[in-house]
Amino acid sequence: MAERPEDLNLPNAVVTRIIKDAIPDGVNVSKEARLAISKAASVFVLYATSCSNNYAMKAKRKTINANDVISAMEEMEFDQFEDPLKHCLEAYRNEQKNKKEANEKKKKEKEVEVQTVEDVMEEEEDDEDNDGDNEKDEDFVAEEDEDDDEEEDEEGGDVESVGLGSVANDNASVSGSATGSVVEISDDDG
Amino acid sequence: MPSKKKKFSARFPPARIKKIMQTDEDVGKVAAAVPVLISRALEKFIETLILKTSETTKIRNAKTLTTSHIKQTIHQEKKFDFLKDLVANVPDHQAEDESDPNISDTK
Repeated sequence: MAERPEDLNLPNAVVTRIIKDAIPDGVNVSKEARLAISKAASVFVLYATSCSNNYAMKAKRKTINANDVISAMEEMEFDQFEDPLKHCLEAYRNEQKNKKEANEKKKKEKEVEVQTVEDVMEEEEDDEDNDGDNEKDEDFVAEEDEDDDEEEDEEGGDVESVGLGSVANDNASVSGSATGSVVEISDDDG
Repeated sequence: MPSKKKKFSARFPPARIKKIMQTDEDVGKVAAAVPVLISRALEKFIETLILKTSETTKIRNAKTLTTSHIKQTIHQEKKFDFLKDLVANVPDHQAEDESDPNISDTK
């Protein structure tokens, strides 16, 4: 092996936490001892890997699986780990199953949400100035410019300022398409 | 106040475990569940090592668990044979202060 076990250390925080939980009350652990435990843990991983891999290779598999690990513990004389590991495996499998189901549920909910939003957006699209009708008053203004002679001048000002929208509504009802190609103006003359 | 021993809360990062595993050239692929199991096994391993070593610490009437206690434990148990090389440089008896020049990273 070109790599030394010391080069791949496990996070100190986790090692420290486990040591703290395991140590009997009243006993301290020296810094060097903590480091040694951390290194021992790395060596343990390598040893367990090697044993597990042997089981995989025996079964002509290229992938180490969970059962290989459990069998390896027996070989390493850590049989007492077998039960906790089996529980751990079951818990992991359940966790994965729940995650998968939660993800699928989220996906479905999102699809419905997107569809609803799309529907609402389609409706709002036409009423761009939010005045309740689906006509753009810009188009109305454009038409007004063309018919200078006929324009209503109730405000006393330039009709081009009608672009504000609200005045236009008072003046006329507009029918026709929102694209603005043809706009009929009927005036309600007061 | 009784201190609640926390189980299952200290997990090792699966990616790091996988990295260590793959320093072994013979290792090909690793199933996703494997680093999770190794993490749990590590927890049990460290627990076991500490518990056994703390017995040595008590027998020596020491308040602090040191590397020499670990070394003794490793030599006492056959299952810890694979750790013998790791503690080869550790003296058999140590003072209990933190500044121990005997442990070096460069081996």
